[in-house]
This record gives sequence, structure tokens and C-alpha cells, in this order.
Amino acid sequence: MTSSLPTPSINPALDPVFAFLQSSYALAESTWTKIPGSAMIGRYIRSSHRNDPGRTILEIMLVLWAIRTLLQSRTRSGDENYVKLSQKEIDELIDDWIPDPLVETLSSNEVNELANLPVIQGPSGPKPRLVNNGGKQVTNLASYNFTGLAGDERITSRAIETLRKYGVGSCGPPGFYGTIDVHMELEQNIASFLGTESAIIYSQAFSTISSVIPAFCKRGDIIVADRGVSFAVHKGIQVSRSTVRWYDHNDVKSLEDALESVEREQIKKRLPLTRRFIVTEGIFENDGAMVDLPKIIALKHKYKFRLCLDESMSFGTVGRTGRGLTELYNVPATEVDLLVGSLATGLCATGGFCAGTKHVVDHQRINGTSFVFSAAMPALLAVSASEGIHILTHNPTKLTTLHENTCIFRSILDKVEGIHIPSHPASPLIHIQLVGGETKLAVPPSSPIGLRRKVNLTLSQLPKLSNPQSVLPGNPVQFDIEAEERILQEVVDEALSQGLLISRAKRLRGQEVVEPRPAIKIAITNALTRKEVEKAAATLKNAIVKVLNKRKK
Amino acid sequence: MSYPTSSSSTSHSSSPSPIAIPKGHTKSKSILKHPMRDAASYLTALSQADADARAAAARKNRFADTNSDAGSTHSFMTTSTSTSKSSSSTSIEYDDRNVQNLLSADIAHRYDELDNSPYSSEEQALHQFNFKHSEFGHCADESYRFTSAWKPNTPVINHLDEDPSYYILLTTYFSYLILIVLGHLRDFFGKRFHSHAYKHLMPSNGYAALNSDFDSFYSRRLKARMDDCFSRPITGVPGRSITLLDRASDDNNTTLRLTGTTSRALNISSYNYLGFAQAQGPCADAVEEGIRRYGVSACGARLEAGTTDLHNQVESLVAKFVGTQDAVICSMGFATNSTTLPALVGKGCLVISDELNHASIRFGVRLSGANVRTFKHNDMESLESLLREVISQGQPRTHRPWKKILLVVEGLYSMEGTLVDLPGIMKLKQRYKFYLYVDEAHSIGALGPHGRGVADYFSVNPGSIDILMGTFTKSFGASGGYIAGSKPLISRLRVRSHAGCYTESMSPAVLTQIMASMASIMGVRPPAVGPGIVTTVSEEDDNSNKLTLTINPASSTGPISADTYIHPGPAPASSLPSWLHLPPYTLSGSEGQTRLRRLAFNARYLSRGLNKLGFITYGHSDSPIVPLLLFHPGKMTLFSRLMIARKVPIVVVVVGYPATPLVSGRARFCLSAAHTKQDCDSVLRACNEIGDAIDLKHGIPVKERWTLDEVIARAVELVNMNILPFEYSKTPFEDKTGFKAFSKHLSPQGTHFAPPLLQIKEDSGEIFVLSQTPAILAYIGPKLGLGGSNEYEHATINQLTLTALDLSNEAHDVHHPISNSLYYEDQKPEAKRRAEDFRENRIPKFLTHFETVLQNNSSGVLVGSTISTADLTLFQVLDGLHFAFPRRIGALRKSGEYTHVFQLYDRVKDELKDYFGSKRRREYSMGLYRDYPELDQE
Repeated sequence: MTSSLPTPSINPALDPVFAFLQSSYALAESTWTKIPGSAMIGRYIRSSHRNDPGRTILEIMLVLWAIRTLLQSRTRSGDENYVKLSQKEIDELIDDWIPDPLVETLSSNEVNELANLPVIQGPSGPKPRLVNNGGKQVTNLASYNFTGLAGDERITSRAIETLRKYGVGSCGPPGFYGTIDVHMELEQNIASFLGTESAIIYSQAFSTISSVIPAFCKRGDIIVADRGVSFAVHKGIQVSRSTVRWYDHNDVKSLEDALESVEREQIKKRLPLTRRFIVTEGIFENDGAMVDLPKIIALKHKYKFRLCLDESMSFGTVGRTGRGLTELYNVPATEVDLLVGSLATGLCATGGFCAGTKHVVDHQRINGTSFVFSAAMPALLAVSASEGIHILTHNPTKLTTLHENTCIFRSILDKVEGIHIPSHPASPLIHIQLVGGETKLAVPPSSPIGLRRKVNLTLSQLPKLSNPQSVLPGNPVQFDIEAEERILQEVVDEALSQGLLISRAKRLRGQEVVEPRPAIKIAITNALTRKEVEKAAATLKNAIVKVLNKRKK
Repeated sequence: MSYPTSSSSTSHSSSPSPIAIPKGHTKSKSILKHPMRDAASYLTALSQADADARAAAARKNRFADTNSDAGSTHSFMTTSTSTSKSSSSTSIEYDDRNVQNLLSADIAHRYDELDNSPYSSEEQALHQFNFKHSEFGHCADESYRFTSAWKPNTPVINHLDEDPSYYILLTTYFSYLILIVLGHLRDFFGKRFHSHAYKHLMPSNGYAALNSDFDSFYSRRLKARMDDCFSRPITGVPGRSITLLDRASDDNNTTLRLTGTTSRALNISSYNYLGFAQAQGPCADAVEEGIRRYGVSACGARLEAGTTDLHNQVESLVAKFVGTQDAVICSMGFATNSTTLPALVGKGCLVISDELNHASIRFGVRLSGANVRTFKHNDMESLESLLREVISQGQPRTHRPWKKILLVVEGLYSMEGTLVDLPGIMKLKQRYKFYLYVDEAHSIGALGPHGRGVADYFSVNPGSIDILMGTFTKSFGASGGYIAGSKPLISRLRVRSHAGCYTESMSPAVLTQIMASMASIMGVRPPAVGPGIVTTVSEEDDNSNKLTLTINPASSTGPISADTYIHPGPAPASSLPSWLHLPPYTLSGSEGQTRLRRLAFNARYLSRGLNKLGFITYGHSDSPIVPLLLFHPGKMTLFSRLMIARKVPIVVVVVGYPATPLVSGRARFCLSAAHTKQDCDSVLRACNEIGDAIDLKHGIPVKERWTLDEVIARAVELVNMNILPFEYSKTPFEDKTGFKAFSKHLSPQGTHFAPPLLQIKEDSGEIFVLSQTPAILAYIGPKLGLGGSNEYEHATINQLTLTALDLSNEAHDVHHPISNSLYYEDQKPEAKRRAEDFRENRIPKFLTHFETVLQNNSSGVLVGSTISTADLTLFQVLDGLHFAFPRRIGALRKSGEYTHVFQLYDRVKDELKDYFGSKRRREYSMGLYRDYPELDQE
């Protein structure tokens, strides 16, 4: 490039230094010339420098910046919030740090609850024996045995046959030799039972919906969901990270408002077309209410939303043969885009399913997290579910008896004072809540979820319209969870002492997105006779009256 | 579009998968002509079973035509009559009856072949698993056993850093590039000319696409090409062999249709580590009884009347199995993680997660709302620096200290086969006070001398790990999972975990399977019934009581003993329901032990064998999961199809991007106790042939590799290796223990009684063989400079060597006090008595002798001034005793009476540390020295 430096002898002592510099410069230059194409680069740099010296400076700075960026550590230490500490300080901080205990110890209530948990001795069914009361027989309205398939001879013998051919475990996820022919048969059976193109089975009911929602709803997609959906649905929505709009529990008007507002927002902000879903349950696990399916389907068509319907509680429990809400309302199941159901609740087997078009199902085979990453269902349980469907299809009386039993039970309980039954009259899942003691309170949507204390109400606080962006309703009902649960537990204990097994609806207090109101959960079964149901209802009625009267005094 | 390698004719062929190379053209044929005779003893053991099978075949063929043997003992036929009924009611495209006839025809054909030709080993294997050994292979050879255990103070070696050459990397990237470019081209033209096929990927009628073309690019354009290798449907038991429902595709995998035929293949893919996937046998019998008594469902959530007495019994059995105070079970393995983690951590907590953790853990952490940081897979340095950073920095922005930090790791990683560095983590845990959550989905039952997972394997007290999670799907042949830990933790989880009040409880059928399989791994301590048994039983009870008594105070005071693993012992009979009947060989625990040791052997054999053949495998050599690196996407498909097109078809799992990094596509083998050594040989043979054909051997340099025959012949040696004097004197030698050439010496007609053998090649070229350890040592000692400096020293060395070997013989006799030809299990009470005396009197007597000799010789060695074979022998014996009687030897060392002996021991150990850290080191198996905790005491 430039010629070598002249070396005037300024100070003889520095001569060796200059000599060294000169020799190393010569070495560098000769190495440079040895690199093929170096002359061309040199020429280019020289000419560009001659034409525009400013550009050389700019380019040098660019190169320096690039080197700095490359060398910069990629850890958080680049973060401006990062505090630089010496090793000693770090050691001290580590010594000082005292973590919270891994878990809080149980409260005395919880200890009691665990200790008094009903434990069934032997098989579950309409009249099981309990370990708690020394093996005495009780009438069971707590287990999900709606259509009386528990202990059915046909299912048991099919299960044993399957055991002798397939063993128990599937020993692998469906992708890795865990897809057994009986799984394919079950999927086929569900699809033809419901009348959809295809279906996919998951090995646990709870994990089905929380896996189905995130398989389709991604960041940026829109979910319009009911405020009263179950815990599992809430978890699915949470994992999906989609934009969520909420509508009031089982309120079609509120749903329409929410859909309308989404539509308006999209037009106003000119948002790109994204996937949009209505997510709701058929029969709500939290209170037994039932959605008006035809109206929701009409709205879905009107606003071009897809419908994800969780039929965990309605599949196998309503409709002429137990096909669920679509059969009850006489709506083709193909109108529901993602029809999710439980094989554990409706068919006394295990697992869940999602029915829909072939595309919907195939997509889940690669994207349904708990389908892909979990072992497939044991073959004998898949066969049990298939047999359950077979029995339901061929015995419509199963559902008629169930419905009759529900009506008998309701006719007795509806008249009892001091309680409220939010459940739909046709729902065999019946929730019993206490009345009195609650207050309606307008809370700002930003306030923390699940208020646990009773708050005094002032007149100035008036009910507001609910905000679709908040999961809380505009005027949430306030109730004292602890007190109500205590009373309900007394009712449960009283009923058990009279030979009736029922259960409070157990909740994960503190983890629920919206705290559901404490309730007693009744699961009607067709395995009991009319007389037995009448007797059970009377027992429960007496227990409620007795406990509430005692309270009044 | 066609497969990269397929020709048009293949779509019409009837081979089980659309495969490019027709069956007849595979290289396997030439190899098959040479029958493998080396496993002769194994074959002899099988001859009886084969005779039975032959008789059954004759019976079967007779019945197959009439199809009327509903009462036949053959399980296959009895079940088929009922399934055919159900399959006709659905529209699935295959008919069971049809399959049945086809299969019987197939079997008859094979028998004709067998009658006319001598057995080849592969055919032998094929014919075995058509009959009684299809679920669980028969393997009587006791040398094909091993014990899975960690050697204390050795590094946990996980091979993950064996990088392939740049050539492989570049071509792999290039393959993906081609696939991606082709895929986009197809999309580009497809959308224009075949728009109806893309309808579901495009917005239409005001709806956004359910699954956009960009999101699904990978599955449509890359995965679809190998769809025939994924999700292959099966029928029957996924045991040692598996029955595939054959599929074919007429449209390049867009749709796969069932052809209606089935084919049986060797199954090296299911998570069936201990071989409990069985439709027959004690577990299945127990499950049948369980279903009869309990039905198939418990109808409800655990907290809402879904709990039966069976659930509680299983939970307490699981706690006993794992060695914790309590346990809670969940009906699905995935949900065990995803519903428990949110109950443990929340806002203000930090989860530190290994970068390769399973999806269920990530799902659970995402639900919990806790912050997450990841560290480099199994890298303790990365973990420590992360811990220092997060604890010192506190929560982001606010810098408030974290409420708690939970470290989540897996015991055995299912895609890599790597073992967690538990000793390293336990060290960090003391300093950094985090809580530890170990997901033992794959390791429980599969690792450790007693099958109790990584804690057992690394000899870590399970009580010092806060949360132990595991599943029942893999080793127990059931389904679901558990969380084990302290009583307060489990009680809290019962009420706080999502599973407690919202998920269905476990099916009684599954519960019974868990109970039966777990009890057979543990063994069951019989209840005190008759006066004859009372003495031994109470002795045993006393022992275990003492054990538990000593653990508890130690865990609070002495850190040394708190860390070690104490075997929880057999399950008490009271922990099983009275109706659950298991046969005696299951109750004694010997069946479980055999399963554990067979699995340990198979795991080591396959991974080391593949390495020796020149393949790159990942993971730890004790891992039953062996990933074989294939790299190229095209080779993944080809490997899978070639394996299944073999004469003995082998089903493999191939995994590629996105489950693994882009460049490291792999085949993953899952070994099982149900596999025989021959099955492993078949897999090795198949890999060897296919590996040569499609260039997969990129591992160790060619000159270090072994041939296939060598690997198969030296299987036992591959699993165990040992040669101390050569190692010490750094003398090069060739280790050929177990090699074919030696078998003639050791056969009944041979000139030597037992191994070890030394083959010496004189300078003249003459070869002679020497046996008996003292003779070998006396011969090689002087040659290696380990024989003393004069004749007197040489003789003394020989004398002391013999004394040390006497001690070793006595150590061996402890577990065979009556006769070497009886199993330990058959002489247990005597062994206990003998062990007590051995510990109390014999060991001290020998050690006192050596201590005196060492004291008299001031140089710290037994004879002269340098290490001799006598010192090495004493070292070897002491090391063996360390393994077999860790507590007793520990106590003796602490007593300070034998300082010179242990100084010598430490000195030799230190000088041999290279060898101890190397892969050449022979691990203790259940041979001369055996680790039976019940025989050891302080």
C-alpha cells in the first residue's frame, strides 16, 4: 500500500524498536500480498479512499461496530437492568438467600378434607361400599356413572378379551408404534356415532381440551369465550396465548355483543384476517347450565367464527342416545368445528376425543401436544369405550331412564328453600348452591381475580356492563367461599350418615381464573330405580333442611 | 412426486413398506447363508421351547382351516373370533379373520422351510417369536446379564459431542435445502394449477385458514415424504416382537391405506424396558382378576369419589418402591407433569429447566406462570453460572429475591439417551438451595441395580431429591404417572394439583398392572405364617427395621450417609391386596432381578457394539435408549424402510427435525429385558449391513473398529472388561476375553477349566495358553516388572497373591455358601449367616494380616520397594469388597486399624486413575463380587 516508513535516527536507543517494527511491517506486507486477490482489495480500498475519504472513516466505524456486536456476550448481562456484582458479593447473596418452603403446610380444613375423603371399597357403581364407614353400602350420586356403564358385564368381558390379546400398556406414543388397531376403531366409532368425518382420541379427558385449543389458536388469533367455562378450558386458553374476549356466562346477547365488538375492532384497525373461535361448553362443568346450541351456531355463521364446543359433560349424558348436545338440539355435529368430549365421563372408560373434519383431526396428530407427547391409551380402555358407544347406540332406554331420574330428582329438590340450582332441568349433572349471603358488587375490571371476602356495598356502586377484555363479569356476585363450603360439607356429611354418597364440587381455590361458587355436585345415574332416586332426593332434602335450620338457630 | 429412491414398480409390490430395494436384493441374503453357531448354548436351551412351538404349529395348522378352535389354548385364535365381529361393524379396511388365515399360511410356509434347511440364527429368531416367545424372549445364559450402577467418583460420560465430519454436516444441510426449495416450488405451482388441493390452507369464505400453508410447510413437504415410517399402526402386544398392520400408499403418502395384511417384526422401539408388555403371565392374570373385581373405571376425580382402596394401595406401594414417604398417582404421564408443576410454582418463582426437557414439563411450566430459564443440556458449569446469576440478580426489574427456585431435569433423556449428572446436581443443590424435580419417566425401573431409577443408579438417597416424578407406561407396561416425595409435599399436591379434582382417576385395570409388575421387581416379603419360616422372616424384618432406623437419624446429622442410597427392600405382603396372586418366582424377586439384569446387559451391549462397529451413538452406555445418528433426512427414511424390509423385519423409530436439531436426525432403539442377546445380534447385523450400504459409519477410526462377528462373539467382554497388571505397567496387550478362539479351550472337551485365559505368543511364533489367575500373575509379573527383584521376592509375592485371592474366594462364597451351582436366591438364609461371619471375622482377619505385612515393610507396599502383582491383587480384592460390602469396608476404613492397607489401596487407585476414568474399565457385574445390600452392614 503506502511505501515503508523512513527511519531517521532520533534516538539511537530506539533503533532496535524501529528495526523490529520495520521487519514486522515487512512481514505483514509480504503475507498480505500472498493472499490471493489481496491486490484487488488493496486497489479497491485505495481508490475508494481517494474518491471519498469520509467513506473510509464510515466504513471503519461500521466494521468496528460489527465486531463489537459480534463479541458482545449474548447473556442478559447486556441488559441495562443487569447489576454487575463481584464474585464475593454474589457469594454473599447466595448465602443470604432463603427460599420459601417448597409447599405450604396444609390447613386444618385441608387435613380434614383429605382424611375424610370417601374411599370406595371394591368396584365403583350405583351402590358401592365405603372404606370410611366400615364397608357399609351407600347410594352413589357422586361418581360419573350417568348411563350406568360402570361394572357393565359386556364391557368387563370385552376388556378382559382385549387384555388377553393386547396386554395393558401401549408402551409408546401414537407416533412410535402406539397406534393400535383398537384406537383406530374407537376413533371410527366416535366419528360415526356423532356423524363427523373423523375423530382423534387423547389418553386423558382433562388434557384433551387444554391441548386442542392451543393446537389451533396461536398468538394473534381471537378467542371469544364464556366466562363460566371449566378449569381445563381456561388452561387451554391460557396456553394458547391468543387474544381473548369474554362474554357473560351462558348469555347469547352478551356473546353477540362480544362478536360484534371483535368485528368492529378488526374493521376499524384494519387487522389482517386471523383465526377466530368461540369457545364454550355444552353443559358447564362449573354449574350444570346448558348452552343454546342453535343460537350459538347461528351467531358463529353470522360472524364467521369457528366453534369449539367442550362436550365433556354432555357427551353420553344428553340426547336420545347420548350423542350429546348436537343430538339434543338436532343440530348436525358437522356444524361444530371442534367437538371435544370425554370418554371418562360419558362412557366410564378413560380419555377424551376431538371430532371434526379430517383436516381438523389430522392437524392434531402432529400438533396436539398431549396427543403427540403422551403414551397412547391402553387398548383395553379403548375397547371399553367402543363397547360403551355400542351399548348406548343399541339401548336408547338408558338415556330415557337417566332423563326420568333427573326429572324426579329435580322435582323434589327444586322445592327446597335456601338453595339454588343453576343447572339446566335436562342436565343430569346438578349443582346445588346456597342462597342468601351474597351481594352484587361492581368491581373495576383491573382488580385481582377471585375476591374472597365479603365487602360492604355502598349505594353509589352500581352494576356495570361487563368488559369483554376482562374475565370478570361487570357485576360479579360476592360470596363467602369458606363459610359456604363449610355448610355444604355439613350437608354432604349428613347425607353420608344417612347412606347417600354425594360430594362437594372440589375446586382449586386460589388457582381458579374465576372462583366458581361453592356447590354440591350431583351426578344422576340411570342405574338406580325410580324409588331409589326418590329416596336419595328426600335424604338430601332432609339433610339440607336440617343443616340450614341448625344454622338459623 | 416420488420418493428420493423409489422406482415406479415398487408401489405395486406387496412388500410391507414401499421400499426401493426389493427384498431379494438386500445384502442380507449372502450373510444369512452362514448360520451363526457361536450362541450354541443358547440355542440348546431353546430346543425344548422350539419342540413345543412345533407341536403347537402342527395343531394350529390343523385348526386354521376349520377356524373352529375357540377353545384352543392358543391365545391368538381365541381372541380373533371376537375381534372380527367388532371390526365388521366399522369401516376400517381390514378384516381380522383374513389376517388370521394369512398368518397361519405364512407360518406353515416358514415351517416347511425350516424342515428342509438347517437353522440359521435369524430364522431361529423369527420362528421363536411366532410362538411362545413373541412377547418375552427366552434367554437362559447367565453371562448375558449385567447390573446397572454408577461407579462412585467417576464422571458421568454422556456421548453427545461426537461431531460428524464437515462433509456430513454440509451434505445434510444441502439435503434440507433441496427439500425446502422443492417444497416451495411445489407450493408455488400447486397453488396456481391445483388450487382445490390447497383450499384448506388458504383463507376462504371469510374464514382464515385453519392451518396456514406456512405453518404446515414442514409437515406437508418434509414429514409427508416419510409418513410411512411414522405412526405405523399395530395390533397385539408391543413386546419383544410387534405385529404391524401393513400399509401402502398409491399417492406418495398423501393417504396411507391398510392393505389388510399384517407382518410380525422384531420390536426395538416400544418403551417396554422390563418387558412387562405381556398378555400372558402373572401380571396379566392379576389384571384379569382386577377387572373382574373392580371393573374398568373408577368413575370420577380422585377428590370426588373417584378413589378406591386400590388407588391408596398403589400409592403406598409406589412410595415404598421409590423410597420416599408418600406418593400420588395420576392417570396420564403427560398430565403428571403438566398438572403438578403449576401446583408447585407460580409468580415470583423461577424454574430452571434443562434445554432438552420434555414437552410436558414445558407445558406445565407455561401454565404455572413462573419465570423460566434454561441451561445447556446436562452441563453443570452452565447450570452453576446460571444459578449464580439468577440468585444474585433476583427477579427481573424489581431485583426482589426469588420466592423459590425449582430445577427440573429428566433422569434419562428419551431422545438423547443421556443420563442426568445427578452427583453434580446434588453438589450444587447444597450450595444453591434450589428445589430439585427429577422426571424419571424413562429411568424408573430401567436404571439402577434394583431398578429404582437414577437415585438408585447413582446411589443417592431418594429422600434428598425433593420431587421424584415417574411414569408407569415404560417399565411397568401400564399407563399414567406418579409424584413421590415427602408427606407434606404429597398431601399438598393432592389438594392443589389440577389432577386431584379435575382429572379422571386411574383405571383399576391399570392399577393392578402397576401393582403386579412393581411387586415382581421388588419381590414380596412373605407374611409370617408357619413356625418354620418365622425365624428367617423375623430376622429379615429386624434387618430392615435396623436399616430404616439408621437412615433417619443419619439424614439429619451425618451428611455422608444421608447421601447414599439405601435399598428399600422387598414389598411387605400387606401392601398387596389379598386377592392378588403371584407365582413364587415372582414373589421372591428373582424374576424382577433377572429382568433388570437382562435389560442392563442388552443396553450396554447394543450401544457399545454399535460404537465398535463404527457408528455414532449418543448417550450413556447404561441407557436402554440408544440413538444411532443418521444425519441425512433421506437416510432416515431409507434406514427405516430397509430395516422393515429385512427377512426378520425390525421396526425402528426415526426422529428428525423438529424433535432433534436439524443436522442430527437419528434412529432410536429402545431395549427391553424381553430381548435376547440374539435379538441384539440381529439389530447389530442389520445396522452393520445397512450402515455399509448407506454410509452411516462415521464414528471411531476404521482401525479401532471391530467386525460384526467379533462384536457378536465378544459381547460379554464388551460389557465387562478387566486387565489390571497390563494397565498398571502400561503394557500394550490385546484383550480378547470371550473371543471365539478361546471358546475351544473352555468347552467341555477343552484343555482349560475356566476363564481367565492368557494367550502368549512367543518370539518363536509358538502360542501357548495359560489359565488360573495366580498362574497367570506369576507368569506375567516378572515380565511386566511387577514380580519383585529376586527369586525370594518373587516367591513371597506369589504367596501373598494367593492369600489375597483366598479372601476373594471367600467373598464369592458368601453369596453361594452351599454350592456354586445353586442360585443365590435359593440359599439366601445361609448366605446371610455366612455374610455376617465374613464381615465380622474373616475380612478383619485378612486385613490384619496384610496390615502387619505392610507395617513390617517400611516402603508402603507388600514386598520389596515397588508395586507388585501382590499389591495389585490386594487392591483388586479390596476394590471388589468396596463394591460388594460398601458399608462394612467404609466402617473398617474409618476404624483406623488398617491405615497401611487403605493407603496402599488409595495409592494404586490414584496411579490407575486414567484407567478408572476410561471406557476400558470393567464394571462389576453380578459375578465374583455382588452388591446385595442385605448382606452388608457396618
